[in-house]
Amino acid sequence: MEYMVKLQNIHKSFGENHILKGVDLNIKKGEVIVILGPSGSGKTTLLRTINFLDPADEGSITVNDFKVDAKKHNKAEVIELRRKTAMVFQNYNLFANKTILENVMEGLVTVKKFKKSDAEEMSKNILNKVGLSERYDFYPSQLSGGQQQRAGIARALILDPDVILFDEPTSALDPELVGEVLNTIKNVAQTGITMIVVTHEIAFAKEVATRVIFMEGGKVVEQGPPEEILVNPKEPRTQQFLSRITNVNQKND
Amino acid sequence: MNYTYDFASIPGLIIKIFQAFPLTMGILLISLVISLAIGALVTVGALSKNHIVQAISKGYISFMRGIPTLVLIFLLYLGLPQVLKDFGIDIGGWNKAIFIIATLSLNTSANMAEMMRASYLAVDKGQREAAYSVGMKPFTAFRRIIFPQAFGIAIPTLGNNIILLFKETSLGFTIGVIDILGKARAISAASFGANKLEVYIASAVIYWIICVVLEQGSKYVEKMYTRGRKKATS
Amino acid sequence: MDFGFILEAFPQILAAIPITLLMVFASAIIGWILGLIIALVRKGKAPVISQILAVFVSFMRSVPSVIVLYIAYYVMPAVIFSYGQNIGWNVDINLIPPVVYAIFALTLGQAAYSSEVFRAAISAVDEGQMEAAYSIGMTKTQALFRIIFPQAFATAMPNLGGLFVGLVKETSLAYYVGVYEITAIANLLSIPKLNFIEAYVMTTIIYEVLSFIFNKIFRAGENRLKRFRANATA
Repeated sequence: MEYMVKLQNIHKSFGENHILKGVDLNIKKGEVIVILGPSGSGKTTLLRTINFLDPADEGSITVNDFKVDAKKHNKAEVIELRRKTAMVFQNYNLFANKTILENVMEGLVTVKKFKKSDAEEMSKNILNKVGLSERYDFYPSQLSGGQQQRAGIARALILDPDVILFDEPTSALDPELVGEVLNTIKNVAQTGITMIVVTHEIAFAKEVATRVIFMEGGKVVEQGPPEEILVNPKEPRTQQFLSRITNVNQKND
Repeated sequence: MNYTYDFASIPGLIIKIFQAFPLTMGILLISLVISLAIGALVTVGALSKNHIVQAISKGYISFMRGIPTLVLIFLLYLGLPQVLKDFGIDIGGWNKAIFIIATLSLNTSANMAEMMRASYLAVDKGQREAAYSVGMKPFTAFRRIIFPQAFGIAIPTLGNNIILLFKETSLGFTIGVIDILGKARAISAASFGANKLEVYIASAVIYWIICVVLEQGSKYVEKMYTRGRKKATS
Repeated sequence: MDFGFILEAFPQILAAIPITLLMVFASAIIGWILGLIIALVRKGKAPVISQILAVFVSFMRSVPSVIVLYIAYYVMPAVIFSYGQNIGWNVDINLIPPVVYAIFALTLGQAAYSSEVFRAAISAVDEGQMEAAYSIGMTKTQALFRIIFPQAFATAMPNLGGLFVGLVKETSLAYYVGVYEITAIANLLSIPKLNFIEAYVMTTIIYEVLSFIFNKIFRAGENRLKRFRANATA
């Protein structure tokens, strides 16, 4: 295996709207990719094509040597691909009818066919790690956004996926709750798992990313190590985007 | 045993049965007006801070929602005259349509009250506060701010309640009112029951058409009434 | 008040409760399963069959139950008879009790009404729930049964409760196709000595008690199913 994730010539349109215009991306095992870009640049859509929540119109997706073609694929292949990936959603999307513990156990029991008792023990372990040891039997609606998102990370992590996809994991949170979730994601990054994170948190990207990708207009404009892209971007569009974002941040500070 | 049906006769039957349309509409409209009036009264009671008034109103609603329309018809048409006779009042000779109107008004008023209560409570609290904040009196606030919004919320349920009421008018036949279904049965009886199935299918088609018209009408009214408002909020 | 009549008739009317409940449970169980299937098929937008089902639902929702009962009563024997002949089986349709036709008609009604309830409830489940289920590798069936349906049922519960109590009341119409249920028995017993008021007050009480009990049961079920919602548990 040369690359853990390989995207080739990904195209995606919603009706008349051509969102992704041929994206190629190769990601090695253990890389932490942060995708930046203005809204409408296609970064979230790109993430969602990787696990076929939004099936691409053209191109192919390979995860851990399992290749799925956008034009020619069957249901079983899509499910297999999804079992190699996991996703953390912007709005958490915890299963509303299940407790936090059940949310984390669900994938192990239903998809991986673990014994319930084993699944429960593993799930408790992982919930302890994200600081939710006191919340096993709570329903999502009874938790804060930050707690829900940490449970969402636990639900993704427990499946031991080849790659975790984070879709703006902190943008629905109240400002004071962003820190706890970012810390949890940093801890996950240190375990060496392959991650793709769509976010607006520049400081987080600087600290955690092994590579930053800047997208605009459905294409990858520029990519490289964070110290390069975030400090000395070559492309004027990247410069513009970063200056706007940092200005806002400074005003907020 | 032999079954022969003459389905080609159905269009002709529809036209004949349709003669009963005015009476059915009359029953529908009068019951609708009375049920809205009773419903409004019951709603005021159900929202009242007086516990006894509130309990009576809610009891009324749940009683009316628990009794089958047919049983209420029999209670009013067959039972009530007996009771009133003991008090020296004779209503036995009243027009049968009156009993149907009374039944449907009472029955539907509970649905109307529930609709009004829910719509009233669905209007945002801030609307009343805002109305008071610009100096409106309570009644003015209700008339100019609360009611128009509650009405918009109620339109789909109101349409639904009218359709339910319309379907219930079909029970007039049980005491011999010659409404749509009554007319259908009369036609069938005139031919000694030979075309029972055909007349029922014909009346089903009439009810179907009128309900679809009512449903579309309700949707249209809702669209016209909430036009602009919905756009502004979304 | 004729107390002798009440003492004599009340046990006989009570004895008719089982046949009323038989109609209620049979048509609710079969009808709601069909309703769920109709809702899913229509949501899946399968061509032709979706349109046919839409027409069926519109028809059932528009035509008064009593007409549907009559049509079933007159059509079904012919259908069963000719089907029996086709497979070389001489069915004596006089042996089929009318309650079968009543259950058939009521079931179709429940299928149509409940399909609308299920459709709305499934639409009300957040799209993100399905995506989350897919994201952890569930199949569509797993996602529907473990995530979507449980949440949709919680939303549907109050409306299903309303349908159920409505169905209890609707069974009184089976009287007109010859089923000896509560209302029919009360009516038959009241006629010889014109004990209308006694008979119908008793009938009313029985229906009110049934409605009360079923309302309570559904309310309890609703609270159980809704325990995952913050405001319900708090």
